[in-house]
Amino acid sequence: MAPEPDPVTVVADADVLAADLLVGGAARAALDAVRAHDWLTLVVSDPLLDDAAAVVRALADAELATDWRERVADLGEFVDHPAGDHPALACAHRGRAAHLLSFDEELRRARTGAALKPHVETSVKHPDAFARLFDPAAVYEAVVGDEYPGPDRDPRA
Amino acid sequence: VVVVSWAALFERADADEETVEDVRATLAAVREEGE
Repeated sequence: MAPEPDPVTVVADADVLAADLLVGGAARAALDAVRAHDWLTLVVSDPLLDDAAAVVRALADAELATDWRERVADLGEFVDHPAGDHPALACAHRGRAAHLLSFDEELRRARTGAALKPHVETSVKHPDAFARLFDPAAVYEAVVGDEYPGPDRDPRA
Repeated sequence: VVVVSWAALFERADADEETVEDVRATLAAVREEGE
């Protein structure tokens, strides 16, 4: 049986990480939830950040990619995985993430859910769905067992 | 290492007009190149 996912653990695929910086919109709204709550964990890996930083370098510039990588590395919790693995799926698996955010329809299809299920019960979501549906108060009260104190971190810091 | 704030990063990045489609196409090219 698959291990229970950790409800406070989130993975964002490289498209969502790069879109958070370069586009805004749903990706930024979704990741703002993570930035605003110290008790939420963003699981990352070097290959995942390499992919996103390469996108930033290609669409913006190398200096922004370097600064972004340092900032997101400071926010995230790193896991290791084999080089050939899909970085986001591997992070979800290794980090027992409850949520995997991606713009990739393939990843969001049932097939991926079925592939992940033996490892961890991760829910693969469009970032817009996460931004709309994620209820930090409900999760906090369920996990911590205390009244939700509101955001505890500046999402722009 | 001095970590730049998210606010400063967004301000620098928002000068351009990328779309999610641009990001996805670029990521596909990056991953294809890496294979």
